[in-house]
Amino acid sequence: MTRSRDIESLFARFGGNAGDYQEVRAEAEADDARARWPLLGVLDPLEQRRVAPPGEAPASRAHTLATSPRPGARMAAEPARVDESVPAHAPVAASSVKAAQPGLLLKKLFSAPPEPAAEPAPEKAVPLERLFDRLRGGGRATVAPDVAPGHEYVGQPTEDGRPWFIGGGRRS
Amino acid sequence: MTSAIDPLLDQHVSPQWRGLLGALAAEFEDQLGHDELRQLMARVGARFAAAHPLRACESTTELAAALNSQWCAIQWGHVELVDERDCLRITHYGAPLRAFGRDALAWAPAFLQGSYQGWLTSMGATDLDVVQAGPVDDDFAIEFRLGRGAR
Repeated sequence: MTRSRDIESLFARFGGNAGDYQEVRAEAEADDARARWPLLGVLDPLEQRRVAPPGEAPASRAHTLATSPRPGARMAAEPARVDESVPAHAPVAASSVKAAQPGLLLKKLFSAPPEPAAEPAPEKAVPLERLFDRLRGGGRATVAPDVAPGHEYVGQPTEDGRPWFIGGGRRS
Repeated sequence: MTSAIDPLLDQHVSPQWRGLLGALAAEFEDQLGHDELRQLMARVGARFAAAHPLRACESTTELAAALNSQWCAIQWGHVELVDERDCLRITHYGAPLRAFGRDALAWAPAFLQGSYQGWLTSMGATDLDVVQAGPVDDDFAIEFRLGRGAR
């Protein structure tokens, strides 16, 4: 039985106007979601609406978040509730990525490989051809060893004359 | 953090191969010097890269994704690429080199070095060298640099 029919049935049985019914569970779920995934608190609900493909029905929870008041105001008015059942490794907000990096690294080490179709972050992408040209065109040897006093250049070069290491001491 | 992750890394070393690889590494150490072993492992890495070519990549993020797709498929850890302007820093996390034994950290990382050299050369990094950024004490994070090396 769908939610709307359920509510209408209740009001039909006990009297009243179904239109006056306020769905608080969705709001509570939204608060729970924002408490568990703080990154949702920095998303712009209006942006969510603009990017959603026309005709695509969003998930009920996402829809609830999109129609909520601005998350910042709501979080200021109501204390975040923590769901005890949420595992400790719930996703974290972008602002705390640095602090969560060890957990993120563990996830990368021991999780399934990412989807090949995943788009890379464009602001971090450096064209390879440009990178290689820049590295080739440097005015100094870019990976020559910076040997500290008291240390000697490490190891013999490879078969074609390339060094093994930069920095450090020689190992026999 | 290294000590906390050690059990996880240990679990990723196949029990089928740990004993054999440890004995192999010990015999290698008795027969060959570290430089010869590095050369051997670098050639092994180059052979591995040739046998597992990457998909075409246009950017560093695509390259990192392609590399990690390869490494993750065989549970060989994770790599991060950082453009340091004068070099490309390649940090490989969680390679199961401990399967060769702790003493092998003096030469076993050359496998990664050879692999990255092979892949990057195939991507167009001709006349650029992958060099290990110093000796390593543990296998959790091993750093390499791609740049215009001294020849």
